[in-house]
Amino acid sequence: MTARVKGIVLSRVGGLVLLNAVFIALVGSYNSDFVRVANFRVIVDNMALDAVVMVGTVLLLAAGRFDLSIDGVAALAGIITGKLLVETGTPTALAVAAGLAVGLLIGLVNGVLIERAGLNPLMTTLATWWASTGIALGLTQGYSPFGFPDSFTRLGQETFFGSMIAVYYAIAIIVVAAGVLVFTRFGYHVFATGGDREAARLNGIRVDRIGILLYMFAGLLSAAAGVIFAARLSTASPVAFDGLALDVIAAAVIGGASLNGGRGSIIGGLLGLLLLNMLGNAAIYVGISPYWQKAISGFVLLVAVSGDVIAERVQRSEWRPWRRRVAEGA
Amino acid sequence: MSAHAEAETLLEARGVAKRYGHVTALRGVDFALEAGETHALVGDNGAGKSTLVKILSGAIAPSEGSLLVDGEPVAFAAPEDAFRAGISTVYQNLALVGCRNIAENLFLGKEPTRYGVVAKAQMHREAAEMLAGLRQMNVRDTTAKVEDLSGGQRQAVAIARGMHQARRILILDEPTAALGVQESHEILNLIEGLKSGQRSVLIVSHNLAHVFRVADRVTVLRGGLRVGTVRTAESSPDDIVRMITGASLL
Repeated sequence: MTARVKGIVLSRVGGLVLLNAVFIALVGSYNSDFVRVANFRVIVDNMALDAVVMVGTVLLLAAGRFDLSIDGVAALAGIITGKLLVETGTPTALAVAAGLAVGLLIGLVNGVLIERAGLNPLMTTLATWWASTGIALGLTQGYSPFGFPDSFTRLGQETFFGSMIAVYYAIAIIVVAAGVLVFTRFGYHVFATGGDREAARLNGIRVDRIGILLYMFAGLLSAAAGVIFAARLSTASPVAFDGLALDVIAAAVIGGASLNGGRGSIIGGLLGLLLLNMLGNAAIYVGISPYWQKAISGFVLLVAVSGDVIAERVQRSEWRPWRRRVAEGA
Repeated sequence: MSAHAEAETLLEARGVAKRYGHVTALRGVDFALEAGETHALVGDNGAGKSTLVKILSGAIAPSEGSLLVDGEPVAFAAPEDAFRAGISTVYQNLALVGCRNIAENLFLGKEPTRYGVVAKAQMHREAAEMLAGLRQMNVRDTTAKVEDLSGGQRQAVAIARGMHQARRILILDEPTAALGVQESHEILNLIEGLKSGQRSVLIVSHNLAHVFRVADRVTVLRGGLRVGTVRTAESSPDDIVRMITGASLL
């Protein structure tokens, strides 16, 4: 039992729970306003849509892939939905479906180009990010659509028990996706594909099909975030999501996902996202200029990545400086 | 020879060739694996052994030629197709996923499920049973990650998986390459056990002592061509060496 407790504490999720708790305690002891329920509601409301997108990113990273087109897909889906609602009077359900379809389509394009045509994932998703952002800008010509019907804005502005509806969307998506990743054969195959693509293929796993499905899922979640955000703000902006892809990749990596694939945790990613959001929020409470927020987030990411490498090397006995010192001393 | 001709051919390759750009790895090779036999595939490095194994296991498609299972033409688009035909392969690179544990690797791609959920307890229980026959390998903890195992232990996991999954044919590409004497002895015993279980085995090996211990027939490849197929009972290791090196043709 002791070993099990030790294992949980030393695991990435356990470590992040501890780190988040220590962070809350430290900032809370400096300024008690930080630990007010109302403040945590703001933090959680703000990170809900990022969490939706992060789920797709964790799955992709676990399978040894990644997607930089997230920002562009979210923006384009919001713009398409918004323009259909405002300019053509399309019913809300159809307009939302069209926005989500855009995400699925871009995900499919990413997946087929990378998995079947063998294009480089970095350049492919950079290109589709560029293209989708460009299309969003071109469609709006700088004028963001607004004046959406209530049936649409309710999708992003309703609150339940004091929290935005997006929080509940995020919880539902996280629970389902985490369950699929941890308990189903598909989840096992995602990790196997990321761990060793060729070994997975030789064992009968359709690695290309898994990749395409994951790119489509990530595209769908990005589009959902874009549509919900447009509903929340009552307007759709082509630049509303700039930097989102790197933020969620950073959160996923802090949460234990590996850029080399084979590792990743949705709960870990959520805790990483919480930490990054709390950093930004806490800066206000401790009197640090918000302009320093990116620098602090970068430092945290660097510590997480370095800590990961050091822990792995120590575990594998590849890097034991005390041994070297003994040898040198002798 | 006529008595042998009556044996049922389980898996057959006819005129199989494989080209990688300008490089030809196999040149119209014929090969037949009979029911219940252990057949060794030998040859020098670059002879085309692993290429033929990959074609027979569905890992790669041949550039020319055809495959037959039970006399019926088949086309393996993926390893899964070969698996469905009852063929299981232990590849030279072992095809293990380092970051997953032993049980997950033993059931990789074929995890047991219950109501859509992977039956983890069943998987670990059966994994322990699969490894029980490999006592010399000292692989017991099915929750251990494969990346933490020694080379020999990894080979044991791959072989245990192959033996468990092989319904009709087991292909072993250099199964004793990373093993010591005791461990090799154990693997060879298991191969002999498969024969008594009416499963056919194709073994690729550089070790002729091992080949002559377990194989009924030996096919020799050289430079992507089939030099010949002989019965171990009617030949000697020296004969095989001559076929591998080409000395018999001089």
